[in-house]
Amino acid sequence: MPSDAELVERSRKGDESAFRLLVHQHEQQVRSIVISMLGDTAEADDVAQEVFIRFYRSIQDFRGEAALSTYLSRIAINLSLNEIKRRETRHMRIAFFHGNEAPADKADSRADPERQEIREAVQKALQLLEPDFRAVVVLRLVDGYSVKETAEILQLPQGTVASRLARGQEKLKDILLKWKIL
Amino acid sequence: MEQTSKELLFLSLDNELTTAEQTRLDAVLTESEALQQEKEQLLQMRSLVVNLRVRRDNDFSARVATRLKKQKKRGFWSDIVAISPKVAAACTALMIATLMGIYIREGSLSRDIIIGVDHLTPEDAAIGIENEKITKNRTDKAMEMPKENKRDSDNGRLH
Repeated sequence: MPSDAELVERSRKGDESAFRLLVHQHEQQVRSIVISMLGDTAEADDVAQEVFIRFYRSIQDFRGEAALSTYLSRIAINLSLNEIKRRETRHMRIAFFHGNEAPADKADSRADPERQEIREAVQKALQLLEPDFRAVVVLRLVDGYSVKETAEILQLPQGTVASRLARGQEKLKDILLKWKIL
Repeated sequence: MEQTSKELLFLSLDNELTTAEQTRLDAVLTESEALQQEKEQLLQMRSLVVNLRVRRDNDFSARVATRLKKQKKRGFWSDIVAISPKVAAACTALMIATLMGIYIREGSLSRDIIIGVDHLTPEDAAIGIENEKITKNRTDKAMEMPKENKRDSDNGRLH
């Protein structure tokens, strides 16, 4: 299996098959981040694709100082946070034009998901965390980065990551307890 | 004290405790059933979240490749829209406003009106050519002047 550095170098020279292999090697990690951040929607698939498109466009600037997985995770988190902001703006516009209707695709913490699959419920619970806390929980728990690596990806002090991780987990646990998942 | 124990508990789940801190936490855990329950719930929650990692999607790289090809085919304007939709919208609005302004003032959007030559007649072109000749003559004369002046001054020196 060729290394990331080799695939990046070949992609830089226009080798499309090398880039496809690179996407194949990292798609699971990137999709896990984006889907955990945004929910399993068509938008999430779009954003995950966009992560690799952005990387391809800036491949000449990639100096390999950080591991490629870290670099892609950073793009994935940033694009997901942008998408969350865009959604919020859209919801605000809808609320402005149609009164204070609750957004249809926003999960309700009071809803009883007894009939839902546990995985889907956990996914929904995750969507209820503040985006900044969600990003930390996703990188640490879903993608398995250490606290230090998570801090590097988010460009935050380790203490901030540890505190957000604790508060995010606390809230997530409370929601799952309320839903009787735990 | 409880808060500190909880903080230690969270840190212990990420293996971020020193040996001394771990010993302290273990001592509290032995005494506190509430903290033990908290730990169990957190571990259960974490195992559920870990399961959110998605399976491989073998078609994904093909979808990215197709999208990349489509984007390469797109033109300059599409790139602007993709990079900054707000800038693209502002440019479009400005263009529409300019065209509307021209239409309101002139009553038409013909090419001559847009480039500002609708009022010109063939005679204007002749005048233009004539003006050019006059301008050229003046420039030529102006170029010759310093030579004459120089000759005058040379003559002056001889006298």
